[in-house]
Amino acid sequence: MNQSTEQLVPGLQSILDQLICIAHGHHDCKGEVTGEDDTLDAITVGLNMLTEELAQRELDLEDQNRTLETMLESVAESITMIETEQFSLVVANKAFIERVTSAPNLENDTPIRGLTLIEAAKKVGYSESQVEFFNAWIKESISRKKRIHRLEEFDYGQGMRYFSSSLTPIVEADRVKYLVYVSREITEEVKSSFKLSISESRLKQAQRISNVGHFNFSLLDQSLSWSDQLKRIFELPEGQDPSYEFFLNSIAPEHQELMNSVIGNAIQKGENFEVPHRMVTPSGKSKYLLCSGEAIRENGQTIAIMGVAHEVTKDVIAKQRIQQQKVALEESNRKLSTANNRLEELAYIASHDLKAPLLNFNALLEMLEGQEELGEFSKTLIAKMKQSAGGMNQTIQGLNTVLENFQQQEEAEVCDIPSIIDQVQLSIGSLIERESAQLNVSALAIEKTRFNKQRLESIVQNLVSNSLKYRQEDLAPAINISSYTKDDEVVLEVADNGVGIDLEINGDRMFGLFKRFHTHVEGRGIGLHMINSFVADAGGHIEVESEVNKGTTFKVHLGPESIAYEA
Amino acid sequence: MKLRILIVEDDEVSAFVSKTVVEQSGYCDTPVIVDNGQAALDYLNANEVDLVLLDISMPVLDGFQFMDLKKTKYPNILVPVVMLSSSDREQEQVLMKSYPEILDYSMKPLKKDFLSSVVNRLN
Repeated sequence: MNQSTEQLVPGLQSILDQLICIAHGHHDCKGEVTGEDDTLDAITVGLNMLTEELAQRELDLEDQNRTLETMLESVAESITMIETEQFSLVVANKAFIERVTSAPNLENDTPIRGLTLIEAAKKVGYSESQVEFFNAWIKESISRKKRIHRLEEFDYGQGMRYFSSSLTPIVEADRVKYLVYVSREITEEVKSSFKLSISESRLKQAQRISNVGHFNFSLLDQSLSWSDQLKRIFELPEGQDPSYEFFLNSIAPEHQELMNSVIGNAIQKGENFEVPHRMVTPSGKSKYLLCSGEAIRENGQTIAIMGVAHEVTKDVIAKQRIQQQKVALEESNRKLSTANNRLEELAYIASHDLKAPLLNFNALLEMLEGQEELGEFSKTLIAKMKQSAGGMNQTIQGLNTVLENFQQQEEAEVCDIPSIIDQVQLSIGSLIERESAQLNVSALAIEKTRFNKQRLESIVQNLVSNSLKYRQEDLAPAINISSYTKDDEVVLEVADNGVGIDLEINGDRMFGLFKRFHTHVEGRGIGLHMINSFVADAGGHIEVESEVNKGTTFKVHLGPESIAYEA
Repeated sequence: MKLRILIVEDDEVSAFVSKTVVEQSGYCDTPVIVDNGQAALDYLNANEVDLVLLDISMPVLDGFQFMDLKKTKYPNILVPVVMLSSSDREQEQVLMKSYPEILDYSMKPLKKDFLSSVVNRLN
C-alpha cells in the first residue's frame, strides 16, 4: 500500500500487519491470536472490517468528490485540470466550459473534457500566437514548478474580454503531473481602468489645451504640488520642485502684494480667491493668469489651498487689441462726427450763405424790373438774369435736400411697400396725371421690407419722377413697379418705357452728383446720387438695365436687413 | 402815421433791400440800420422803436441771442420783433416758433405784402 492510501485509511496498515503475521504463523505478533481457528476467524473478521472500512472510505471519497465538484461548478472562476502526459483536460468546470463554448468557432456539441489542450485550442479557434502563448506559459509553469499568473485577452466576437489567470502545477514524485488552470474574467475592471486612464490622459490634454494647471498647497507639511501644465506655465526648471518662494518670485512686481494678501486671507480667514495677475517666467516671458484658489478648512483652520491657474495671455492680448481698436474706432467716430459737423456747416452755407445773396439778387432784379424807364433789351437781360438765378436757386435747394437727407436718422423700420407707393402717387399725382402715365403695381410679390421709411419713399419718388421726366415724346409713360427677393435681399424694381440711357457712355457716372444725361428736361442730377447713397448705406446696391428709346429698369437691392421684415 | 423801424442786418445788400421795401411801403421814411444784435439792444435801450426787422445770422450777437438777452437783461424793451431768414431749414423754423414773443417771421427778401400784414397787426 502506498503512502497516500495509508493517509486516506488510517489504521489499515495495522490490520494488514496482523493478517500477515497470522498467515505466516507468527505467534509473537501483536494481538490476541493464539490458535488456527482463531486465526481464520480473526482473518475473516479482519477482512470484513477491512471491506467495511474500504466501502466507507469509498463513500467518503465519493462525498468529497461530489462536494469538490459542487464547489467547482458553483464558482465563477473557470477551472480546468490538465494532465501533463497528453495535455488533455481531465477536469473542466461549468464556468470553463461556458467560457470556451462561447467562443465563436466552437460547435455546441463539442465535448471539452478529454480533448488535448492543443485540440481544444484549435477547436475554439485560437490563433497560432495564442496557442504559442499557452505553450510557453505551460512550459514555464512546469519547469519552475510554480504558480504563474498571466493576463489573457480574447476576442469572442463581442469585443475584447480580459481574464486574470493562473496555472498551478501539481507535483508528484518531483514531477509535474497536473496543471490546474484557474481564470477569472476582469473585462469590466480592465475597461474601467482603461477609461480612468483615458480620463486622466484627457484631463492632462484638456489642461494642456486650455492652458489650465492646478495646484495644492498643504499647510500641514508645507508641501506644494503642481500639475505638469502648471509647471509648464511657470516654466519651472526640469528637476526642480515647486516652492512658494519660486511662485511668488514669478508674480509680476505690481501684483505680488495682491497675491500675498489673498493667500494670507485664504490661510487666516479661509477666504477663497480669484485673482487676475501678470507673471514673469524665468526666461523673462510675461504672461497673464487667472488664479482661483479655495481654502480647505478643518476644525476652523485652513489646512490646504487648492486651485487652478488659467493662462489667459492670449485673451488679455486680444482684449488689449480690442481696446486699441476701440480707441481707434472712437477716434474715427470723432473724426466722422467732425466731418458730419462740417457737412452740417456746409448745409448751412448752402442754405444760407449761398441762398441769401441769391435772394437779394432776385429782389434787386424785381426792383429793377419795376423801374418805368427800362428798354426792351434791358427787360430781356433782366429776364435772363432771373432765369439764371432760378437755376442756381434750384441747385442750392437740391444740394440742401441731399445734405438734409444725409443728416436724417438712418433707423430702419418695417415698411409697407404698397403704402409707400400710394404716398408717392399722392405727392406727385398731378405730375402723373399731366404726363398721362400708367403706374402698374400689380407685381408686388413682397409687400413688406425693412428700410428707413423716409428714404424708401424718396427712392420710389425719385425713380418714378425720373421715369416721367425722361419719357418718350410720343409714348405715354408706362411704369411697372415690382418687388421680390433675391440673394436674401428685397429688390424693388422700377421699369419704364422712357428714352433710356446709353449705359456704355454713362454707366460709370450714373450715380455721380450733379450728373445729368438729358438736356431736354429740367434736372439737377441729384436724385440718383442720393438714392444710391441711401441704398449703399443699407448695404444694398442698384442695378440698371437700359436701352436707348426702349426704357430703363432700376433694380434696387435694399440690403441684407431688408428681408427681416417679419422680425 | 409813420413808424420807427429798426433793421438789424449785417449783410449790406440785404439791409439795402429791406430798407428800400420799407421806404417804398411808405410806413417809414428813414429806417435805422444796425449790423448786429448787440448794437440793436444798445439802440433800443436808448431809443423808442415801433418795429424791429431782425436777421438771424449775424456777428457779435445773432438773432436768437438778441431775443434771449432782450428777455433776460432788458425786460423793459417790449418792441415787436419780426424775424427774417434766408434759410428754409426746418431746424430754424422750429427754433423761431419757440419764441412766442416774435410777432412773425418770413423768408428773405422782405416783401411789401408781408410788411403790410405785420403793420396792420401793430395797429
